[in-house]
Amino acid sequence: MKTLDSSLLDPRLMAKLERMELVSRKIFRGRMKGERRSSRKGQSVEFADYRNYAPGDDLRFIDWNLFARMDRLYLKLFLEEEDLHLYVLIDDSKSMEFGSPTKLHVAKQIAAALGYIGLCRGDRVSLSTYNHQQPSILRGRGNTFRLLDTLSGFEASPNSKDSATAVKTFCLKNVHKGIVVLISDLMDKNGYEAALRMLVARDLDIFLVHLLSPEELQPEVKGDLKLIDCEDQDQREISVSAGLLKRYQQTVTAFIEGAKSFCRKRSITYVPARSDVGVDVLIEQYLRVRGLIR
Amino acid sequence: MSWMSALNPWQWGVLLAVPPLVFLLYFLKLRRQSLEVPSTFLWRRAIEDMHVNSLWQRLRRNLLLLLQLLFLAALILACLRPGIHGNQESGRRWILMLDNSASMQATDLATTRLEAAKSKVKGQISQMNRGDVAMLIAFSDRADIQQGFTGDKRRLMAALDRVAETNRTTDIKEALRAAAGLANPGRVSFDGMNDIQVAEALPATVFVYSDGGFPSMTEFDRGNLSIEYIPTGTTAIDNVGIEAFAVSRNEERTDELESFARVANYGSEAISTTASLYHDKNLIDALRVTVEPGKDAGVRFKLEDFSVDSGVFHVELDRADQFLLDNQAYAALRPARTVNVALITPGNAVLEKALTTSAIRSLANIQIESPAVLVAANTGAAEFVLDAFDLVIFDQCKPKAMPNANTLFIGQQPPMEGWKLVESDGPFQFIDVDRSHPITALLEIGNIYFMKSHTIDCPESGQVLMRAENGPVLAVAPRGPFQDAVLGFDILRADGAEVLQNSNWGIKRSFPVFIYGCVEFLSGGRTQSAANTTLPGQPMAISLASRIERFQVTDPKGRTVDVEKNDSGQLIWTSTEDVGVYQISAGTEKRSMDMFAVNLFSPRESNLEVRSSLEIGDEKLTAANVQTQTRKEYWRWLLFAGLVLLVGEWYVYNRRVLV
Repeated sequence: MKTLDSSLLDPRLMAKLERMELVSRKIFRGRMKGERRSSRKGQSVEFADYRNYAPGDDLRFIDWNLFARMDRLYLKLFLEEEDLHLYVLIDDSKSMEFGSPTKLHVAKQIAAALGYIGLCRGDRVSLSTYNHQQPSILRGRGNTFRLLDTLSGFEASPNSKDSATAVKTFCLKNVHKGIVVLISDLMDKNGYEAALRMLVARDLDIFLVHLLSPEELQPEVKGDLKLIDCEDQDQREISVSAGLLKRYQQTVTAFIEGAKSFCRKRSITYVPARSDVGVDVLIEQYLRVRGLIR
Repeated sequence: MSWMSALNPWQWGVLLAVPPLVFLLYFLKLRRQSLEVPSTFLWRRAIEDMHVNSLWQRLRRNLLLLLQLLFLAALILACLRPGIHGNQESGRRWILMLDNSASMQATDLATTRLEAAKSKVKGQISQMNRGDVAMLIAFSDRADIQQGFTGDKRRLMAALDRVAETNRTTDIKEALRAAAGLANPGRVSFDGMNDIQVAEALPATVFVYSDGGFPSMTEFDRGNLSIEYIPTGTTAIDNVGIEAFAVSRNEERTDELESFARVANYGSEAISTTASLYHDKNLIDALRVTVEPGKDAGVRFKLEDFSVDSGVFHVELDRADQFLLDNQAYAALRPARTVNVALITPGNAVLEKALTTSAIRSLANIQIESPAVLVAANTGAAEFVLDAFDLVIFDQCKPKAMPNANTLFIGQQPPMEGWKLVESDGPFQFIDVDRSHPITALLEIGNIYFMKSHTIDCPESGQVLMRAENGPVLAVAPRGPFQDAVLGFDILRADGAEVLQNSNWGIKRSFPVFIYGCVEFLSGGRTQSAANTTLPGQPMAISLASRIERFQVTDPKGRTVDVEKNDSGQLIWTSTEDVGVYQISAGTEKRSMDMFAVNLFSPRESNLEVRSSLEIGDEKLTAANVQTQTRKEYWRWLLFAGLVLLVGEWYVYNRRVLV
């Protein structure tokens, strides 16, 4: 019997996740009826509102009691229970393989947690990475194993596309609206802005989990070093000094603040995350606080 | 502010190259450690920010570099030894006398005595303070002022390094005189005035670094000098030395050689060793010799079966003791050669007969000429040259000028200043004969009379050998390298056409003996087969009866130098530093014309005993056990350590971040 990959999803966390659900700030039309009460009016048992009858409306939804009393035809509206599209897009560039645990692993944990919430709620969960653009689309709790399997199969790609190209491909392949959770370190020398703009243009509910490792935030380096970029083999020679480290800290802060500001201006929910912080903390505090789940 | 360099020019070069090197090290890229990072994205920005600061700004902001450069500047400044002229009392004056005679080559210490003494002198020099001055004199049998009074220690040290060992004997007299000349200036006096000192007296301390192997100087006036004797050497002496060595022909059997050496033991234990005799580097005999401590022993080599005409003999003691120079001695045997004697006479059968004895024939070639040759010789027309003879005998005639040869005048006054002959009528008889002189040593002069005679007044340097009733009748006097003998009366006397007998000596047995003595002695000692020997460093004068003016002298090391005879026909050779045989040849002739040996036959040098006291002036100087506290300079090492630290600090700085 297959067991759950506990490195991605802790059973205790799963128990907590089962009680949560994904929240979208936007109204989307689901493909199937889900366990979600959509703000869209539809066919469910939960009454929402009345409206005037218009010719062509389904006569089954006319409130005959009200017609008897008011002598006017009103149509009873019900809240539509529908599913939600959850897209999890993971940056699987080589730079995500750093940190302990690696950023990619943490990204997969976050994706697993969010995906599991989605599956529990009958949402449509789509998993893809920058370089693995054939999305795995899952629905239903029964697909938990497949979810974890799929995530486990994601490896960092040495020849990574840049984020703009990857997001463009993603947008072309996923035409439906929904929640997009982009988990990335945004370490793209060509800039992450183009990629985010493309998502914004698609009118998706965007969450950006900006995942950085402690090595990036507070590097512990000494001496004269030749830094080699793991992605493009770019080399930079540095002589580490207090001044340089201070300068680096300022750069990191500016980088994070820049990303935050960019996201705020475009209604992207920016979630900073550290790879050394447990995924349960991330889910329970950061994502909950920022309204992705409740 | 005054500056005094503490470094040599090349050391300055190295030091001044350091600051540019520090700069260069900052510019040079180090071999950096590779580190793979997720992205150089953020680093690039940070570096770009840093790069905005230009290189110079970066250097300017580099506190450590600044400190390093300041450190170097301070170092360089320190090496310039800055100082301020202050009022300081005039310092001490030292005269350092270093013995570099042969005995200082002794190896009774870990090094030679000279090296040990040098290190003591070095210690003394290093103790000099500001204002002190010192001079360095190296002395053996002469004094060399290696460095005059100076306060510059480096010049003194350099002069000290130049002092080399010599093979010479020791005589401190000249060195002390040089020192005393400075400390005790002369005085002049004028009539009616007191003595006036011509220069200011400069009292000084003399440090004598020696083993004390020189004669005492009791007559020396120390004046303002105070003398310290610092002995060098141990009391455990182990030395045997050759004190004398000679090789000569047997006087009776001239084809036989005899050789004799005297070996002395200066150590405290009886020594038995082998004395080996070599002829032209071939071993010909070896004898065992045992010498009691403090005694000497003779070694007689048997050379009956060994017959050579000439060559270099060399005796060596097969023993490695503390002083090797006296373990060898050289002697040269000159090639036997006959001398040339000219007899200038109008005719003298008695004299001619006396010159035909077999003894004289084996010694000399006799050429008899009439006085007519003198006229020809004076005009220079004839081939007859008086100078080519070893001895010229003038009988009843005399030349216009003295020839460059030994002469014997019979009844004639030599044509030169100094000689004066006063005629008187006899008969006379001999009264007195100087038997100590070789010419007259063997003469029996009984029953000899002579009629007309001259009383001889000879030059001051001359020596009267025979006296008669009228006064001196035979005298000999040197003339430069030559000897002139004058006999006051004729044997035969021409009176008009008649030849009269003036003396009956001609028919006596003693006459040929006298003539033989004259020929042997006046031919300049040519008959002596054994070459002369002298001490190292002493000049050698060689009389060469030859028309050749230029000679080559080959020293024991094989170096050949061209030398010309001086005006008096002598060859003066002064470079006798090396022990061995010096050969004289002429032209392309390989065969030596003459040779002489240089040997250290000096018991004083061979006796390595360190004298515990010296007698100089009226004082007996005991060995001042001057414990010279040697001051060793470490500042160069500290300087070097500083530089190493600097490099280390630079390395550490670049390896670690000191936040």
